[in-house]
Amino acid sequence: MSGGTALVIDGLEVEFGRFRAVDNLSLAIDYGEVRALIGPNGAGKSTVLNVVAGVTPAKAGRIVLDDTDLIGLSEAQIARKGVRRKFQKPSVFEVLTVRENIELGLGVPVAKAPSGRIDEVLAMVNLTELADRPAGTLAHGQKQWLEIGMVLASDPKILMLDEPVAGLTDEERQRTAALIRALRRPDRAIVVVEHDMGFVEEIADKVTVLHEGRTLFEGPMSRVREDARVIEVYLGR
Amino acid sequence: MIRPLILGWLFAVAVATGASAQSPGRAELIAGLCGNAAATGDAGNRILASAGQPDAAELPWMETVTSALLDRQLKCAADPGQTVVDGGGAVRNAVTLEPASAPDQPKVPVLNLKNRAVFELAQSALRLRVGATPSVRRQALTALGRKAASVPVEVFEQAAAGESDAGLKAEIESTAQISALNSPDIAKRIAAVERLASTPNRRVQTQIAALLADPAYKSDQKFRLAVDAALIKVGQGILLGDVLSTLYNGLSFASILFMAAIGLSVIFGLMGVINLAQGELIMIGAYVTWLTQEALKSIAPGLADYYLFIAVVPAFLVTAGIGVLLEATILRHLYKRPLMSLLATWAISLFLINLVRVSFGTQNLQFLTPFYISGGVPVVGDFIVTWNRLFAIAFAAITLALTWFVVNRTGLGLNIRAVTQNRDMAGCIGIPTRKIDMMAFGLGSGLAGLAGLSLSPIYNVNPQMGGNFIIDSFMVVVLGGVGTIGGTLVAALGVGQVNVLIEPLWGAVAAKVIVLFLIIAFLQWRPEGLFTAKGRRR
Repeated sequence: MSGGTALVIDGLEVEFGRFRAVDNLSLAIDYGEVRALIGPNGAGKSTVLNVVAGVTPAKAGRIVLDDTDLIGLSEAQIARKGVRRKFQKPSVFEVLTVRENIELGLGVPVAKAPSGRIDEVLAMVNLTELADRPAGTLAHGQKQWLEIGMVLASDPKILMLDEPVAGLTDEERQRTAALIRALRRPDRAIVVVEHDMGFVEEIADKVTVLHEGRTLFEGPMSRVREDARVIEVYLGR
Repeated sequence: MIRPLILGWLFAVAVATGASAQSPGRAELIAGLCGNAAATGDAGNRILASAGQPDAAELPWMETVTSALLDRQLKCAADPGQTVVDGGGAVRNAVTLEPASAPDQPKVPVLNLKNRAVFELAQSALRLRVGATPSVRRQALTALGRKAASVPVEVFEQAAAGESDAGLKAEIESTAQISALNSPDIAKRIAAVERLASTPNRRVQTQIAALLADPAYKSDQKFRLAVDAALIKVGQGILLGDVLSTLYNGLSFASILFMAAIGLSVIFGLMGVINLAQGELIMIGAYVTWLTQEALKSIAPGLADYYLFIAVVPAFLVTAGIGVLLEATILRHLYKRPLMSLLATWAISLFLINLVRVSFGTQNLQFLTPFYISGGVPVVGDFIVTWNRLFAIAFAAITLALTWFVVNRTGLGLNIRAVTQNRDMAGCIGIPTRKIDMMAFGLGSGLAGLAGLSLSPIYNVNPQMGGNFIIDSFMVVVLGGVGTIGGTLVAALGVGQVNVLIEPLWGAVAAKVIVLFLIIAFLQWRPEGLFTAKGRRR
């Protein structure tokens, strides 16, 4: 599986009323890579994640994971196929404890999960000491990590992170970047939606720039900064 | 030849003298019974007095003649020795109770009202001592209990000493205390006052308070002190009993409110669906309980008394099944339209009411009252722990524990809490939200079924019963904060207690109204209820 194509988005169209949020978008994401989706507000970045996760219905197009078409499946079914997504705003379950949040993320009863998996994930996102605190009492950055831990717990094939460093301090940002790099594996594709170009540069193998629902540019980060169109619509501002 | 004759004569004389040793006493009494009103009354009092003598040998005879006199079966002759008891299919000599012939022109004495009361009392006293069966003795005790003060305390003391039935013995002893209050012996009276005060209740209070008017209260200081101390002690006991009794009634009302509301809390909290059919699910739970009872009656009559325990499983499963069915067929399609789901559940409730009405009729169902929920135990003052209320309280406590366990300690519960908090995120991490909705609806409905079961021994069970509970349950759910078990519990306890506190002051209807106003005022101040689950709510 390693190195092959994980997720193919083909001719995707999404409309909200008369507003076309995603317009004939095609995208292929490989196993083992960290892909960043960037673009100005309203470019359709989060919408793409929502459609892949099954939250938002697509008007047309295909989304294929390995050999399965995800269009038409429910959120939970898609999640169980190994696609996990972290929301932009931390969406942890605030009254549940940190441990329970991770437990939910497993997607299977605790007894069936690999033993010690919860502790392993807690250690990975650096929340071991806070395991029995209600998630609502965590600081913003800790919530972000907890949510990454939740989507990580089930060992997903596709990991989609929507603005994982929004509102974090520099130090927290560094730790998040290190965490994401550590999550990179040959049998996993990581998709990150992010505004913070410095952060994207640190983690991404490849960048896709979206603009008005279309792909504006796709390639390594080093070349993004040189692309005239990208500079015009995004970096230049 | 002569010697045996002489011996025989001597023997006969001896026997005759032996017999006459009691006969004059008997004959004298019979003469009194046949005499004028004063003589009759005097004889009655003597019989009553001798009913307390330790030796019971003479008592059956006294009982026979006293009853004969009361039943107008005593036929007097001029000579008391010729007087007969003419009843029970035989004519017997009143003194010896041996068969005899009726005298010529007998006089049948008629008792005046005053004397009749004396003889009735004497009859009961004698029957208490020598009645053949416990039920006769118990009847006698009941009759005596009304006038315990005029019965010599010895009657009760002797009767208690000779009583073989333990329950009856205890009752005799308690009646004896009342009698001892009026004993001529002041030490006995004080002892009786103190003993009475050890079981304080309103009846005892009245009895002791009556002694304030007794001449001895003025003349004897020790007696006065004893009576005053006893009154204070009894007063305190009654107050304690009243407080406990109010708390107990509040707790039992709260447990019923809690049972009715907990299922609703799960459903309302999870899906935001206002399920107006919840009351009807309670009703169906009660009907399933009844059906279980009827089935047990015909299949295993020996187990019929335990229907309340056996029905737990069917009551839960049937209502949970109905809940799942409703969710899957109707409510699932209306989640985004709260008004429609409100109307739909109302329609379902009307449908269920009429379905039950058509198939079972509108009358109240008859439930057995098993031995384990009848009666109660007096604790202090007028506070009695009644088993049926205790059953409801215990049932609610167990349901609370199990629900808490399911919601907080199982995978299903974790999923339910996650979906309650944030449906989108729950879906994104692979929780099958639709399936959880269905199971949570089933759980909430099943809890309503259990509520129906626990209500069935206390409330009227008929097709309309659900309507009584729906308002109360919503009150509790909204007050407690949607979707929290703790909130539902605290709100149920609060509403239950406040209701019970107000009821004796202004009546049940006013209590309802006041509680409703209090809740409205409270929600103005805290619209989210007492406890709230933090998180994004739609």
